[in-house]
Amino acid sequence: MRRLCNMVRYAFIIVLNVFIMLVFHSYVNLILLVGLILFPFYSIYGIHKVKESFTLRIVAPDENMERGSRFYLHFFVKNSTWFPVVNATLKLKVGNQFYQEEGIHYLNLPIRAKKETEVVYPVIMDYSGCFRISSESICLVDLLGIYEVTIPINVEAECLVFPGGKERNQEAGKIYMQGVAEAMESREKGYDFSEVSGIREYIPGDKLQNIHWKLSVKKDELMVKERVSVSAMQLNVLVELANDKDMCLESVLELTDSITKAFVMQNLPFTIYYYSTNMGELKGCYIGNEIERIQWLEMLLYDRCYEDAGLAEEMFFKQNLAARSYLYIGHALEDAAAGNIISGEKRAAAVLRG
Amino acid sequence: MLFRKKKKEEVHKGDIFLAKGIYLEKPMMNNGNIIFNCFLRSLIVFLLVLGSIGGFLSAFDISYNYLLVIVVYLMISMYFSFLYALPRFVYRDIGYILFFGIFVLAIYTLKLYANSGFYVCVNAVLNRAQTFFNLSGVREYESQISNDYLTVAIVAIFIGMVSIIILNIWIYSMMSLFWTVLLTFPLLFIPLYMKLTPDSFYMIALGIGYMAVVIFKANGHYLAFAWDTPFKIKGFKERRVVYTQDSGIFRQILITLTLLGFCMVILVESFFSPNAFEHRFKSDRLRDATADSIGNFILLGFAGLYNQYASTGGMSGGKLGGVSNVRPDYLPDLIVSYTPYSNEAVYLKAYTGGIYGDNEWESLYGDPDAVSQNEMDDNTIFEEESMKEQSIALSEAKNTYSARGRMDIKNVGANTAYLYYPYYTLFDDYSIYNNHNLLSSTQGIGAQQEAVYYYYPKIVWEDYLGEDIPEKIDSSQVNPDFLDVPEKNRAVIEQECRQIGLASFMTENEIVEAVRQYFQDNIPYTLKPGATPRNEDFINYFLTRNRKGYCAHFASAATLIFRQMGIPARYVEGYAFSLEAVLDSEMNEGKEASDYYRGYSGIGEAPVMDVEVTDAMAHAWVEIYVNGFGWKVVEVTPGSNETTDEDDFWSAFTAFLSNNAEGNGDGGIRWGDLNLSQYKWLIYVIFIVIACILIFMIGKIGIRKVVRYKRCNQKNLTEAVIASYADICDMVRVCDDDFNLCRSHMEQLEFIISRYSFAIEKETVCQWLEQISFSTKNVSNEEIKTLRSLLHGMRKAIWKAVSLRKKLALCKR
Repeated sequence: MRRLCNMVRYAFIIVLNVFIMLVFHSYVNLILLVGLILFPFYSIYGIHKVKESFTLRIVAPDENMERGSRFYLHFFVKNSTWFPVVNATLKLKVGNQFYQEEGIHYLNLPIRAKKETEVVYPVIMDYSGCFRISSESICLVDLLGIYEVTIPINVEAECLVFPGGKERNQEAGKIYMQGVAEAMESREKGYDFSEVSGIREYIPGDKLQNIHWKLSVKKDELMVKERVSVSAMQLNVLVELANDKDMCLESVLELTDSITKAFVMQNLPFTIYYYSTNMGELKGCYIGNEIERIQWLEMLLYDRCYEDAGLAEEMFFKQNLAARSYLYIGHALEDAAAGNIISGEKRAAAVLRG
Repeated sequence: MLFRKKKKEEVHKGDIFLAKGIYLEKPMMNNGNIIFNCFLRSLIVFLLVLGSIGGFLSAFDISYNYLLVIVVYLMISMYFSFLYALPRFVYRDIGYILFFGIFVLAIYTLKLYANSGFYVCVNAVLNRAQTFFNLSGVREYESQISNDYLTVAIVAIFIGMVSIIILNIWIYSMMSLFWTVLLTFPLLFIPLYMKLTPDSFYMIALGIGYMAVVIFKANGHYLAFAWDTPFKIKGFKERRVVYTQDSGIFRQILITLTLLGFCMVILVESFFSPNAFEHRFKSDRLRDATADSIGNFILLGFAGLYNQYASTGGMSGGKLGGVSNVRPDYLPDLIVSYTPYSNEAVYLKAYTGGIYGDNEWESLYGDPDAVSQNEMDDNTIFEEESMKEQSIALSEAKNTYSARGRMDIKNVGANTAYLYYPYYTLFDDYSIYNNHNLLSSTQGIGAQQEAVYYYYPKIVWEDYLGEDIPEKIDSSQVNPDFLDVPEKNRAVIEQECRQIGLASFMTENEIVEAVRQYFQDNIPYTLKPGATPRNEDFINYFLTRNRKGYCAHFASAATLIFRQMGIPARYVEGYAFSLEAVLDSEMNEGKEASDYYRGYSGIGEAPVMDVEVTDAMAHAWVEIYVNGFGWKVVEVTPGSNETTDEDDFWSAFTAFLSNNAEGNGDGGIRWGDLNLSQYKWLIYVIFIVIACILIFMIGKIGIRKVVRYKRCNQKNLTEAVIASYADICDMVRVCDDDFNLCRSHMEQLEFIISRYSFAIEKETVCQWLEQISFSTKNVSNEEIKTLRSLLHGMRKAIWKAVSLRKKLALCKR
């Protein structure tokens, strides 16, 4: 519509100019008329030249940000021709990959000739996750606004935004010790905290308690469960990444961040589990220091949340990991005894289970 | 829930929503220097106004102080550009009020200059119109201040000021092409219509302005911006962020348009000259169709477009009311050869109005068929009694007061339907006093014909009479029509008589004097009283509502007033000229004075003079009939009282600007006297602009360099080294964009070493840099000094390694 208006306006100017030229025999208007006729060609040619040579860069911060803090995105549009473009519209996709939220955004900017135009976007993310911005296309309009060219351009930038959990060192330390103590107690009672990693034929010297009797009967030969020993002095942490409309997951992440940070600060190693939507399985990760924790958190935020509440715990049970006590971080919990829980915002809480 | 939502909205108030949980604060873009930005923005308005007004003046070849006009236009344009860049509307309003005050003060102080300049322009237009339309008698206005060079500049500035103010509003709020064209192009219609072409420079300026408006309007980036908000949010659903204005684009568009404009002019003129273009048009239909109307308009103003009667001065034949103003052409209508005998005005009578009808003085003897023979005879006797008897008496008197004059009147441009003769002329047939309708076919003075009259001068006649009361003429013989006041005028005339203070007991002389004085004191004389509205009576409208007018108004009103007071009166038209006009005339040495005047003279001996009686000397007056005296001329029209004065300060200012080189005869160049035709002035202007820009840029660079030097050589060695390193990084960044990708000191050093082949121990340097930049750990003075010398060497190595183009770029930092 705007282009049509511009065309009509320009055509009217030409007609008016012709009229004045003919009525007044005006040489001035003849010059203007020639200019008016040639200018659109110049303008359209300029757009095509710019199209061939312009470049776009989007630069996001390299370091990880914290939610609620401001970070800067830089758009660099470089035009190495002599033709300026008054109207260029960049179509951008902006979103949080973790929450699978996405929006379309348009940035209208000038493209100066023989220059690099820089636009800075101060962005704030209320939720943690992976901020991703990508350009789909750029629309270049000629000087007269009567012709436009849309160029697909695929440039993207991303930045991780961490939950920025509050300090919960004391509570976390306490619950860690409690979890480990329960595990020790169970072991003393005869519970075995080793995990079954496979089944094989009996080899002389195998413990009797490892014999899989039911299978041995079926196969008519002795079969034993192969076990991997797990230290009882290590806590398992399970994070439920199910989200709801109230964005409770954000509180879960915040709680996870503060608890894991507290564990690392107090040199308390732990194995953390979550359900990876990208991989379609429960993913565990041993964390012994801050670097490992950050790497795990980055991996988590590159993943995606899901809607099914309790999915991670279900997988956890299936893999027989719930035999000993573990720290469950999620929401909608009713089974927590006092002292076994660290409450977060909304309905998020970390509960010692098992 | 609602509360939380509200709270979140408040947190992100003013931010732009990108996606759920992602918000954008105000985007930033480098807009550049505020002064430079305002300058660029103001250029559009400046070019438009300069193109319009300068184009008009150049087309008529009117010379003016270009430098003054350009500087003032630029300053005003920049001023308003600044106003639009202010963050609050109230500041803009204050700015407007302030400017309005200055404008009023300037108008008040320079009104004479502006008037004079305006007249110079009008005269130039009229001169061209005279040639173009082949008009005779176009009036030339006299300017009160003779320095056209300055006065035209001042009037151009005033008109430009108004244009700039209005254009600013339309351009920076709407970028309206319609209003831009409407405010700038119509002025050029005048020269274009008269086949005059404005200078190419102004046309380029105008073209650039128009194209800039078209471009910015088409793309929508024209709104004035405050400096902290280069973007605005548009289209809520689409989440669109749109920039408002960018000085870089402004500058580049203007440069592009300027180059294209000049190319276009050169291109078109190379292939198609103005003459070749004009020859393509075989006829000028516009001129043919409108020449009469426009010519009439030029002669008569707007009145010329709708007036019912001629108003160029001269005779109107008693017709009143349709004329809004009188615009004499000042060309001679009559040439009168006679010998002056008195310092009083000479009246040449042509038309006598007896009956006041429908906004017209009709002749008493207008229709011979309607007048009985008896009536004619009575009137003839009456006229004879009033004039002839006195003439005969004087001619017969051989004493001191005897005098007789001859007057040759040649009609060179006056209406040929009338006779024009002096008072107290001896005619064989006094029916000559009748009006033109009756006698025009037989007795009017034809074009270029000359009539000879013998007359008995009034002064002699009056002096002869002395204090004696002339013999009574029985007024009962006076035609009662000379005492008639029409019914429609009666109430107004009675009211006017009361206002004047006339009473029945007053003598004729007292009444005449009272009326004359009253008109002089209360009703101003003007040649532009405005036309009498339709369905309004001319005299009533003049006396009750308009209260201003020229001779026909005063004579008509006075005639009815005298009649109301019982004095027979009639309205007379003709020509009247004063002794001043006679003295300005040429002496006719070929004619003997004695042939033209004999007898008593009020001014002594005088030669024969050829007086050019122009249409401006056409006049209307009253004749009253006085018992024992006959018809007597009564002058009731007051004089015009326009005055002029000059301000000493501005006289000095004028002298300063016009530079007295004119008078010293050494051929020196006047201030700002740039010859447009040779484009010299353009070179000066370009030179000055370039010089200013260069000085500005060099100054800016110089200041930056000084600041940088001070930072890098400050007393605090650590800070000095940090500043030096930052400066080196800046140098490298200017030379190579890829340097921006280096995120740490180590990466930066590696980049510099690899690109500029500078050998240093990068780990150590990096360690020192990080220590002095981020760590609290002290670095020894020795280490800092070593680092400093390394950085110094690094700078030199970079400078040596870069190309000349990059060196220039580094110089511009």
